[in-house]
Amino acid sequence: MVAELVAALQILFLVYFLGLNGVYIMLNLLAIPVLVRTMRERSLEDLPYVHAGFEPPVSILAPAYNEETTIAATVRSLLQLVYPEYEIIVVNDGAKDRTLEVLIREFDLLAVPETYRIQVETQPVRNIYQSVTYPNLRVVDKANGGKSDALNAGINCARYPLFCCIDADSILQRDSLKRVVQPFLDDPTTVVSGGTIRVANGCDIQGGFLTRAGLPKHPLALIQIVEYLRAFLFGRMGWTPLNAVLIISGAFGVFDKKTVVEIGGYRADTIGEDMELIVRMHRILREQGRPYRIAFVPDPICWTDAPEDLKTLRNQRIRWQRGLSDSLMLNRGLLFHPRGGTPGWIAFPFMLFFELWGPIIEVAGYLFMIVGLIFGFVSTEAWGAFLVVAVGLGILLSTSSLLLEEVSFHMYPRLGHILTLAFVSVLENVVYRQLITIWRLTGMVQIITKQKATWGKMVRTSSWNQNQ
Amino acid sequence: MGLDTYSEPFLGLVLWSGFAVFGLSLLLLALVLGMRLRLFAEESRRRRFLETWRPVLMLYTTDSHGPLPPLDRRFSRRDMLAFLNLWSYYHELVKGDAKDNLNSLARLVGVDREARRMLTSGNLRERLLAITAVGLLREASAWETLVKIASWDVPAASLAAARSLVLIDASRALPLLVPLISDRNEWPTPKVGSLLLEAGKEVITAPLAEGALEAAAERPESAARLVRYLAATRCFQALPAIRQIVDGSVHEELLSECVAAMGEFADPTDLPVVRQFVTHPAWPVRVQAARALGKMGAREDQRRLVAMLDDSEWWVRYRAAQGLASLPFVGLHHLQGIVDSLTDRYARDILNQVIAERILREW
Repeated sequence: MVAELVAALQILFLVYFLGLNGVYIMLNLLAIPVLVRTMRERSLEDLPYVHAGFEPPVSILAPAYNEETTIAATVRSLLQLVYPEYEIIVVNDGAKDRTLEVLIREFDLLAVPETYRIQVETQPVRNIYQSVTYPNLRVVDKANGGKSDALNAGINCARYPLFCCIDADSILQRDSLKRVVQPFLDDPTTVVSGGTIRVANGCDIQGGFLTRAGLPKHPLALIQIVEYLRAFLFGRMGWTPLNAVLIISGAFGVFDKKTVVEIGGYRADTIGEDMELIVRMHRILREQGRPYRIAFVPDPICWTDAPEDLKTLRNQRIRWQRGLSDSLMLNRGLLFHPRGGTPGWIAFPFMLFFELWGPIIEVAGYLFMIVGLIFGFVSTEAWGAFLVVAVGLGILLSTSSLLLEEVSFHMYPRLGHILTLAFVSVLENVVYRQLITIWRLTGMVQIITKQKATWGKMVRTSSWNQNQ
Repeated sequence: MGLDTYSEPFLGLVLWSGFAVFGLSLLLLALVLGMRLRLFAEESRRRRFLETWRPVLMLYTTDSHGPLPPLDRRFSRRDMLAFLNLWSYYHELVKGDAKDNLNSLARLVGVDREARRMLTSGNLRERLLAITAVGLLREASAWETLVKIASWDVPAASLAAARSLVLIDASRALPLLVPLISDRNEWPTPKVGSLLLEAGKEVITAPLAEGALEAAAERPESAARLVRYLAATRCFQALPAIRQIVDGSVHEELLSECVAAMGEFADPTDLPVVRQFVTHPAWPVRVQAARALGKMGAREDQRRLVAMLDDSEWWVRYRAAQGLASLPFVGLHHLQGIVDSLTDRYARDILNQVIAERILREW
């Protein structure tokens, strides 16, 4: 009886890891043709062309909370984006530091009697400022309500049909906006478009823009490069042809304002507001039977500072896990909904079973196999088989993401970069992934024990965005 | 005890899979390295090629008989693609005679033949470059092929073909393209807009206006798109068609575009028509009416715009306020006087906002 239970558990864990990595392999296979086609189709895009002024204008929303050291540099880089028509709305979310004073001083802001149009509820707005120097820059000063609330205030003030949300520490490329808006031009049913986020650590940044990609010295940041390649190049690209992308990063995404307002804007009671909005959009638009597309462009259009200390990384991953849980639980109606389509019948169950509940099974699997090996109820062959499906397939997936990067953007210019990343592709699957799984499990425990979710303190490692 | 006791074949399979997985991982890594080495080699070769040909292309933008590097053999496929890329880039940058000079150069090195051949290539990248090249070269012999490609379902290729048709013979191309422009909403509007600008107002006005009229009843969304192009490319001669559409349509989007176009063209004879729409039940139409009145309104339209300041829709209020502020005979003092006379809070707020914006603009 015990032997049968042990055997059954071993098979369960093996099948779980096979299933998880099998889906990733499938996503990988789906991503390859999309990526290859995208690269070929854009071979004419570098040619100059006559601008006829039909690009949809975009409102860029930059929520800021206690960003006095970085906000001026962020806004300066936003002012240099190459796009025909856009406005920047910085939302000072009741910062306790001198964020507002810095903005007023640096950009010649004057308070204007602007009518605040409430399309989605927010904390009270104290004042709206307009830059005298930059006509396309406004600052909304409001009572603290969190990032979602700040974004909602930005939506209320946005004048253009598309809005782009960015994190204050995002590093963009001058043509980022142009690239991410493209899906709206290609398909009028597009409601959201996001792009690939890359790790900025180790890169050369000048004037708020990336000038040369490079690798960081810190191993933790280095590993996250491969992790991000995996997450974006096939983790999201693979879902794109199925119109089942459930996450568009809050660090950089463009949204159809009308649709977002119709579904109620960002929820202020969740820590994963970016994913929640996308899952809710799928749920509501599917329920309504409206045609829509949530697009993902593979271009590396946004670079972010990756944590280089374990505490910050741990907080980040716990927060992501809690955000994932909120997003799925608040929109569970999408799961196997008759009109759910691929998001409801494939992507949502995958996220629920493998991404949300996965850490429980994974940690249990590792513990069971380690204890079993020590106490002799798991054979070395079974342990070997477990390593193959849990670690070996992981390495295969990491190396394949490196291959996808090489067939598409090859952002890292030196041969040394490639050799380092090849080595890291192996390393990422040993210890690092297991550590992340434990932190994700911690997030699950916090959810189950109903602990309050917090953002934690982000320790910045780069100096690129400090005010000059 | 354990899995090995119960399902050895399964374990064996997994173990062998393990070897396969590790082998495959190593293979992928080797592939990545191989690709990178090939990329380095290609880049260095491309650099050498460009070092030779960039000065020649630069020279040919000013002189149609410049010296050529020795052409002891035909371009290789890779060199041809590099040449086409560079040649197209320069071609798009220059104007007038420089384009003809570049065309002479392309013919001298046999790019015209090669581009025609590449039109049927299986490689999309090659095909796109070839489509562009035959257009820039104005290769009339490629007409039929381009017409076929223009109706493909790959937007990048079909749109590139549409543009090449325009470059070869705009007046012949437009009647063929208008139905496509009106139906293919996956063709990015900025690209279609630039294609139409290149074709020129005198060529596009009649077919677009005709297309809009034809589509107005059955496919009003398509007609709206065509009217938007007419307005943006400032085809004033299209006004009679737009007036006719306004007369017979009730479709909100189409009416909005038509009223917006009337505002763009600002012909005073359209004022009575625009005025009709300030109380239209659909707010997007009222917004355009307010904008149009701001551009073309007479003194008597001031009261209409003031009445729109307490509209239930923010955008109507805002555009009406902007319209008022942009009327040439309404100064800041006058605007302040209007604010003081308003009893509706929303109307006062929005006009105060627009006054502040105007002061900032004039700062």
